[in-house]
Amino acid sequence: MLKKFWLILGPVIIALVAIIGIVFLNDAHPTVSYQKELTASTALTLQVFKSATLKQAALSDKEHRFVPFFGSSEWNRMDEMHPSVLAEGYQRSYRPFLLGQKGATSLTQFFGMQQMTKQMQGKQAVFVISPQWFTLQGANPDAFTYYFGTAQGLKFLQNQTGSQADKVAARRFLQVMPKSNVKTMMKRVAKGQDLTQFDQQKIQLQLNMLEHEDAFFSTWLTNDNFTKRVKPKADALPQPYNREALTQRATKLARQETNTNPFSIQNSFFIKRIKGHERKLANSQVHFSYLQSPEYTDFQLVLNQFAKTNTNVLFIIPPVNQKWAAYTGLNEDMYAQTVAKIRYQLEQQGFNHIADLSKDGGHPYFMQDTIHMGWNGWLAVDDYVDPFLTKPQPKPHYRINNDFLSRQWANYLPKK
Amino acid sequence: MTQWLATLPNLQPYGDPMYFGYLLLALLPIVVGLYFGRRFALYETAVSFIFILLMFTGPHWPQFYALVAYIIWETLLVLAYHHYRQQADNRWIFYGAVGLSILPLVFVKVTPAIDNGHASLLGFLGISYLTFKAVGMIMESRDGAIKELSLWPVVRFLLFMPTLSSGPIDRYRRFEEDYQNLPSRAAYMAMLQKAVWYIMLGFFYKFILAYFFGTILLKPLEGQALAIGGVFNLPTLGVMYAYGFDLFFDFAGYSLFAIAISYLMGVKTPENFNKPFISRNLKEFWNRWHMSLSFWFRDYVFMRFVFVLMKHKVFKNRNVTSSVAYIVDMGLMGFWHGITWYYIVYGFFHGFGLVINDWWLRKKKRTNLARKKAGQAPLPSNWFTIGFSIFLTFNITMFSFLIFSGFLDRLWFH
Repeated sequence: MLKKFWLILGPVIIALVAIIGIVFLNDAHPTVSYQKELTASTALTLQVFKSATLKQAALSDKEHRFVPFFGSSEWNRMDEMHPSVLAEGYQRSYRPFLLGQKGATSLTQFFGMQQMTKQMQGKQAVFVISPQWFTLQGANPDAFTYYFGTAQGLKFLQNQTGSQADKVAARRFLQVMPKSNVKTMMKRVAKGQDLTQFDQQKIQLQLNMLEHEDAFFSTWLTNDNFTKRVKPKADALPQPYNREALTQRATKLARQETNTNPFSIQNSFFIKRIKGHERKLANSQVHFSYLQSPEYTDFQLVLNQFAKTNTNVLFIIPPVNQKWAAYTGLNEDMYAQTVAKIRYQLEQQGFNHIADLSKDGGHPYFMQDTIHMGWNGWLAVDDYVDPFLTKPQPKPHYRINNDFLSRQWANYLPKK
Repeated sequence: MTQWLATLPNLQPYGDPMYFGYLLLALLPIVVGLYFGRRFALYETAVSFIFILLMFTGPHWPQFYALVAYIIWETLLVLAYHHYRQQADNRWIFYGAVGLSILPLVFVKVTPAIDNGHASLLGFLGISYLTFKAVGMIMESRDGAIKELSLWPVVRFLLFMPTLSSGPIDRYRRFEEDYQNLPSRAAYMAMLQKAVWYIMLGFFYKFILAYFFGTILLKPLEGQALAIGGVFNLPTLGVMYAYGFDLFFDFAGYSLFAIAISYLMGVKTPENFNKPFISRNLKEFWNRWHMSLSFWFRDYVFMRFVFVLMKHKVFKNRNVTSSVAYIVDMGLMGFWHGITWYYIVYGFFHGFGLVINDWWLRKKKRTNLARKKAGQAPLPSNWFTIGFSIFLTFNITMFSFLIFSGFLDRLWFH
């Protein structure tokens, strides 16, 4: 009979022991090599974005300084003037840790930050805040769900103190992702209730498991952009650093790569995304407006988080491709008003490092495609980023104002 | 009481791997008992009660009251009808009893359709499945198939914990027989073996495959499809397959869990899926897909409806009778899923699909008969025709799931 039992349960027991052995006896906070940190910092994969292990390892590396660069799809525009290429090519004292992909917005970044609050404490960061995020709907539920990891939600639940911002964050989470396995606890936080003792234990237990899992799978990294795209371009940069020479090189490269269309859009992008339906896109953005959006609330959650960890942040506001904007009929005044509203929200609360490039979309070869910076645009970004990260900066003094969390602010229409 | 319910942790059945840890631990004494040929009725009741309670705690607490009220209502109804049936057999009393037993479900299904999507207060997780069981008992009481019925067995059957939330739908007599006759040690070992296998397979289905199709594949495809828009596009085709597989692996995985836990408790709950995607036609598909539901509809709706139509000679043609019954049967099933256009269209899609399927099978039979008389070989049946029919059936059912998913509603109207 025992043999029979063993035949039934043996495989399960062996599997359980193997999993516990492999995953749980594995170090939850492994040391990660510099090479791997570099790979992670430019991989731009879902894995890296969700992995606490990789983010924490790189951002707390004492010998190499990684700075979180928050944003979305622009990070994937890895031409020769991309921030990661410049930092590597000129052996700067920092390396960008790129966070954010297509469709990521403030709420995604806010939950991602929950996994590295300790590592952000008193440090610096760069944040590209795109006016395109501020649509009437705000964060796209599908994109948010895609980037969201349970560990982020659990970390938030653990970090939260029942503050106004925490309640709003939980409420926004439930709006954007109504179905999840942290739903019940999020509802409690949204209502301003304390989590139960059982909840706290459950969070700790699950986090423990997820951390081990995370550490285990962090061994395998995919998408080695660093060796494939960053390093070769960094090696090709003119030495030593010369801004004039860089502009010339950027312009030369850009001219070759944008010669098939009248919008100065990178050829490959134009062929893949626009060529087939160019006509249909004319005047397609006339009614776009970024003035009213729940994104203003989500952005405030991010600002709250930066204030909480006392992180000194440089905000970059990108422009749109002017020729493309003219073709699609995007309202330039609306764009300027959006930027003004974002700037007001920043400056009123003491976020004074702002690289406002929003009016530069018409400069030659500033944009790589429709809304993403490239070549000369990246160089303009570098003019802000390099001094901000390499010269001593005074400590920031933030004055958080919770009125920016309100629906009134999200829906406020700036006067013309 | 309410406050207490609201503060308790909530455990959704088979929701995460953790649930299995708690459940299997609680079931261990029952398993040991059954191994030694004993059923610890009191302990079993307590465990069932706790796990049912935990499904409805936290924010779901109103559902707990709804469940209690529902059980009282259905139990009284079933017992009262059974008692009445021993004395008399008036058709209208029978219709009345069935009507009253589905009344709570009707409220629950209709409320969101007429009240801006708000859920009815009478609703709780699993109400449909309990209704199927209750209606089944009333119908079999009328048939005289259920000879004895008393309070505790009825409650025990309705509230059988492993299948409470989403089936499979068992039948009273079959369940009661399993419950009363404990399996021999050898038989129980075989059940144990099957339970372990089903739980593992269920993990693979629900937590790996359903996650892959439903989250990793489906979500980006939905985004792409909505971004392109229009009536139909290539990513929507991807949504169709990803959703179809997600639906299957999620529900089949859940069913495997429910069956496995039933087996551990010494009850051979019926199967729900049997490789549905190798069906060669729609009829076969419904013998392989959500079987406990389609068999329920077959026995209690289709057959009875056909019988009534034949008895009253409503249609002269036998085939017309069965066609009408198919459409009513499947249409009703569509409404049961919920009162939205896409569930209803899904139901009628399958109703008409079965009618066409039936017509084709008849035509084939006639042709083959004629060919036989003429001394010809029957129509070809080889790997190609079989492969083609599987391919066709698969795509037709996948398309029906796309309708069912409600994604087209988002694509077209939102």
